Amino acid sequence: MLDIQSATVDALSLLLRGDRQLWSIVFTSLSVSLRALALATPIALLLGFALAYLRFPGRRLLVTLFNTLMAVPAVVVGLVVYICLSAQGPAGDLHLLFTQGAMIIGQFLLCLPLMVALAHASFRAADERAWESALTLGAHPWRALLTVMHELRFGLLAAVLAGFGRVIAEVGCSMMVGGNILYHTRNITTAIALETSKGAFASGITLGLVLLLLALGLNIALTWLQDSERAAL
Amino acid sequence: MSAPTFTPLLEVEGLELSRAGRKVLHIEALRLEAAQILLLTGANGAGKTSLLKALAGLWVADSGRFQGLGTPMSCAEGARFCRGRHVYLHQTPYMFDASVEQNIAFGLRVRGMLAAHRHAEVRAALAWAGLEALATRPARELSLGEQQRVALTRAYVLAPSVLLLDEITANLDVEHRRQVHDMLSALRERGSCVMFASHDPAPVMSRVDAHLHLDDGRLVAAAAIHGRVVPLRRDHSL
Repeated sequence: MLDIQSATVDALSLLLRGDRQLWSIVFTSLSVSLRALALATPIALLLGFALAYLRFPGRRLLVTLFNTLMAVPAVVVGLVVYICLSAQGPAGDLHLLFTQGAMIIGQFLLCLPLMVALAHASFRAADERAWESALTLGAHPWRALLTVMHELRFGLLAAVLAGFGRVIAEVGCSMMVGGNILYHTRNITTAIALETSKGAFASGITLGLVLLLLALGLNIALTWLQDSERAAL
Repeated sequence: MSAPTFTPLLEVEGLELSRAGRKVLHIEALRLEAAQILLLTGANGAGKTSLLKALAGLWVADSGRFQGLGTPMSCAEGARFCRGRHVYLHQTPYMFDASVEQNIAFGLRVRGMLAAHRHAEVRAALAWAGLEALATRPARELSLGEQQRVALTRAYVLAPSVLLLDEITANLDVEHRRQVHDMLSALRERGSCVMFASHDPAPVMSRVDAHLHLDDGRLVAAAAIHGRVVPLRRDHSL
C-alpha cells in the first residue's frame, strides 16, 4: 500500500532541493498558462462587455454558444487543435504541433468561453448608471468601459482566476498538442500523468503540491488585493 | 417677447427618439440658454428621463436637427457635442467605488487635468458644497442626500453648460432638498442652464425661470415665470 506520508516528505524534499527537472516543469506550466491567459483576458472582457451592452443580430446565439463551450472537455479542444495543426491540417504549415505555441492555442480556446461567460454575467449584473455616469462626466467610451471594469474588478478578476484554474489544471489538451516533451512541453499535469503511470508517486505528489500552492498563492493574492483596495478607501 | 441676444447653448428641432421599438419622444423645438433653471414636469412615462438623456447625449435621437452653440449638426454629432458639456444626474446618484474626493475628481481626471490643479479644483468644490468633512469618506457609505450633493459637486467642478437633473430630490428630506435647491441657484448664478425634472415642483417653483411640461413624449406647454421665457417654437412664441 502506498505510504502517502513518506511520499509527501519525499515530495517536499524534491521541491526544496531545487530539482532542475521539477522546476522546468513548473516553469513550463506557468509560462504556457499565463501566456494563454494574457491572450484570452482582453478578448474575453471585450466580448463579455459587447454581449452584455450591445444589441446585434445573433447576440443570444453567441451567449448560448459560449455557455455551451464552457463544458467542452479539454481532450476535445486538444483534438480540434491537433487536427488543425497536424501536417495535413489547415494550419499545418505553421509547424506548431508539439510546441508550447500549440499548448497556448489549446489553452486559449479552453479558457476563453468560460471567461467570456463569467465576464458577460458580471457586466449584465453591472449598474447601468456606472456607464452613464462615466460618459456624462466626459469619459470617452473606451475610458467609460475601463471605469465600468474597475467597478466590476472583483467579478472580472474572478473570471480571470477561473480561466487560470481551467488551464493550469487541464491535462488532455496539453498532452495531445504538446506531446509531453521534457524541458519543452512537459507541464505539471502531463508530468503527473506520466509519473503516476511509472509508479513514481513522490514526483506526482510533489507536482500536485505545486499546483495546490499555485492556487493558494493566487487566492491569497486576490484576497490581499481586495482587502488593500477596501482599506485604501 | 424679445429674441435672445446671445447664442443658445443648444437648439433642437424635430427630435424623435425611440426605445425598444416604441417612440418615446417627439420634440418639435426646444432651446437651452445660459443661466436659467427650467422645470420639467410630466406624468410617469411621459418621457422626462428620455428627454434628459437625449439632451445629455447618452441616448442618440433617431432623427432631428441639433445646433450646438449655433453650429448645425446631425443627431450623432449632437450627442457627441452634448456628452461632457451637459451633465446628467440620476434620480439615485451612482457613486464610483472610491472616496468622495475621488468621485468629484473623476471628470477632471478623464479630461487629463494635472494632479496638483485637480486637487485644488476638488478642494474648492468641496468647500462650495460644504463637503470638506466627508472628503476622504467612501462615497457609497454616505446617506442618499449626501450622495446627491456629491453628485452635484461632481458636476459643478466641471462647470457644465447644461445640467440635467432627473428628479434628484424625490427621495430627500426637507433639509437635504433645500441644500440641493441652493446649489442649483448657485449653478445658475455661475451661468449653467439647469433643467430640473420633478413630480413635486412646489418647493422649487420660486427659483424656476420657466416651466416645460411633457405629455406622451411631446412638449405641450411652456410658461414664463419671473419674466423669463423658454420658447418652444422657432419664432420664439410659446
